[in-house]
Amino acid sequence: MIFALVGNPNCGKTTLFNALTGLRQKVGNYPGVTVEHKQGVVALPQGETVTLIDLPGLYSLTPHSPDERIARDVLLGYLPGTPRPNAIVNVVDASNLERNLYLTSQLMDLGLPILVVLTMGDTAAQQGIYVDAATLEKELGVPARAVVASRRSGWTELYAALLELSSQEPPPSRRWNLPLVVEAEAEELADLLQRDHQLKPREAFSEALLLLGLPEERREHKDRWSPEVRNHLAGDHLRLLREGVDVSVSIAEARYADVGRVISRAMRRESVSPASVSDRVDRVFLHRFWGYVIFIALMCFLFQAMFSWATIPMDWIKSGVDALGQTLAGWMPDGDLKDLVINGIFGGVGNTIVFLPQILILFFFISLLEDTGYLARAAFLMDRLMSRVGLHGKSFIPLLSSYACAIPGIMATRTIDSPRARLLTILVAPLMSCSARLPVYAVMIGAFIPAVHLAGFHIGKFYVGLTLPALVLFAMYALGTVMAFLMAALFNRTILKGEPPSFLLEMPPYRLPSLRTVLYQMGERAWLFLKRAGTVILSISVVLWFLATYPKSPDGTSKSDQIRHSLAGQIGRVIEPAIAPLGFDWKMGIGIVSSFAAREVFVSAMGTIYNVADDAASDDSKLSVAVGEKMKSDINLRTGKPTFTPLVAIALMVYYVLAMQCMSTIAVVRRETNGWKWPLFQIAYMTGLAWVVTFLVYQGGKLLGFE
Amino acid sequence: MNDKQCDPICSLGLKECSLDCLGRGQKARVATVGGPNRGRLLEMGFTRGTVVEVSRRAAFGGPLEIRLRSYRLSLRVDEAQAIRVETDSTNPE
Repeated sequence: MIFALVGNPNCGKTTLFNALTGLRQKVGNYPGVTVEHKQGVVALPQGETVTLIDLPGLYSLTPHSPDERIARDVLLGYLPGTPRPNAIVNVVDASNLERNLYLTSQLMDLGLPILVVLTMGDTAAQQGIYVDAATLEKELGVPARAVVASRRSGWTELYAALLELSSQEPPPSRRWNLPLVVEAEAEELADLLQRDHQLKPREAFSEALLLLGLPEERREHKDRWSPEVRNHLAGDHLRLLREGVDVSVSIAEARYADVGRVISRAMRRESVSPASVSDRVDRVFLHRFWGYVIFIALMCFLFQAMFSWATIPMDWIKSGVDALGQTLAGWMPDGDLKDLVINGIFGGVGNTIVFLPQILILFFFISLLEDTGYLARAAFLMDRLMSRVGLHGKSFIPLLSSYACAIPGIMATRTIDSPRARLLTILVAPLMSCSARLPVYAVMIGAFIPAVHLAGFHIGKFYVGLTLPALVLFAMYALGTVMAFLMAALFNRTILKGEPPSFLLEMPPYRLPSLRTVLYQMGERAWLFLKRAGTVILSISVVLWFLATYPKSPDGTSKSDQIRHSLAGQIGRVIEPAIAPLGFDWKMGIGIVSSFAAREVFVSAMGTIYNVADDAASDDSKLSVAVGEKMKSDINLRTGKPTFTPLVAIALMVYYVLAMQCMSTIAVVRRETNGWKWPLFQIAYMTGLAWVVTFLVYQGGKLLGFE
Repeated sequence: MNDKQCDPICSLGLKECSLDCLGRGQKARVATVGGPNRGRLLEMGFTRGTVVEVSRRAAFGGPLEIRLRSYRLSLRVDEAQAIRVETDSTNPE
């Protein structure tokens, strides 16, 4: 038995789903789209079980968004591979009854048995709103049960209703009335749908209404319907338009009129309270000045947590993975296999799973912000800034998180409802300087940027103020940020033009977060990420190891000669002509090639090339210093000048700011956009951008006399 | 982005204007809905005669917060411009 769980966003659907299914959940994607598919098993008393499909939160069945299209297709049984549910469990928020019942009105047309579950009774009571489930049941003509999911009150009644649901009759025939002309057209169209597509009368009428209510250009699945149906539909629109009837208006008005009738009986509103708690909180949180102060303080806190607190567990994971590798190395005989396991697999996957703490922290915060209702407020505050370049108020947090790591940032774009703004955010997020770039900046700045004091004063031995290295570091972060906004503006006006931008955002009342929901979401994201690390990232790591190891040099060659002759070294030399105009030689080419595993690998790759003694390599900070020293003393044999100059160092950093060099990000973008098109586009545009800007910086610097 | 100046008719107590012209706390009834998100707006409850109130405006010309059908929704200014509302001298509620 399969039931579909349907409801508006913010109606308490997720809490109910978690409470009903517990840990018996499966999360995935619907084929071909990025809409999340979640299902779980409910164990009913008397040993029966029901599969519950958690459909995305929706305001209506009219397909305005991918979420709504999927939900409608699932409910109508159109989606290949997903069987049509036997019944619908409709979650309805008592504190927002009118708009929630609009969806209920649409669901009742589908001809499936329905159970209405009334949630948020406590929130409603605070606002002086009381909904009587029994009256609601009588007026709607379908069973209705009130529950409080967090306290499991009303649970016995809910289970009993679920048990009866499968054998229950579909709701009685429609009780709301359309204007006569519209009614007549809808019936004609429904007859046609029954004849040509063998739909049952109820389904045919519901489908006819959905088709009539959609403007021409928004109609999806046009090819699903027979030519007669399509012609009739086009004719209908013209006819009705001539008579001055707007179908979408009449349908919406008719439904809301019926909802009004139901509400007038089932809902009682006591004297309106002067101002709800949410209103009073928002007077501060959405204040034109204090609202931003609070927002910035929260974001600083999040940034701090991801950037510095996360490093503690990240170090644990790093040393844990290293220790595991060492133990394993002790058991394995020397040879290629051992090298593959230790350097290829443990090195590559280890470099990726260290980001797990950042992902956990970010999703802990995001779930918390989402669950309390603050996320909508943050979007409200930030939308003006973000919408100038086509982004969405909700793009802010993903972009901010990308300073720590683009992977959680890109995963966090799921909170953005507009598909276009979401894609735009994904495309530019990797331009934000992530923490993996920091080691590269650190080595380059440490070795080549003199510690000149620019402005400030001394307190004893300490200098307080701006130094040149700090300014350069800041400039790198600023460059990435500015480029992200410029590229977003560019894409918004070119490749992503078309779809109308929309910012319809509900401001839900503030709620106490449910720890259970927060932890579930954290765990879910972490698991999706680990699965990714275990598959795509593992295979790319193996390929990169292979490139750096083969062909083998004869025994006794030094490590640096070995890497020079390997495929990676050869690639480095092949790409040298392409990177020479940027001031880079083939050694940096190897660094760039191997950075594809993770940017910070640059430091250890340079360490290998410059043959830095292994004892130094055991400590990251010592390694950086040692590598920097070696780079400084490297002389180009042809010109007799140093290979690395401050200008080359700046050029290299600029390249690292802008280039897409992270296989984990590519893997995540592939997953989130469901295909290779966008990750490949991203590699192309970021590499192109990096090359052009680095070229301008290096050649411009040379013209100005820096060498 | 929003160069369009609001006619001062609403404040003069005249009949019809766009939703973004309403002052904070001012109430009106929906007359017509347009724009690319028209269908969505209708389904979210902006049907003819519905009482709406501009309850808040974000700084720097950011989104508006609208109160309708006992919930709160935020819209961008250009989306609000596509909604025409009727005000009358008598308080609509």
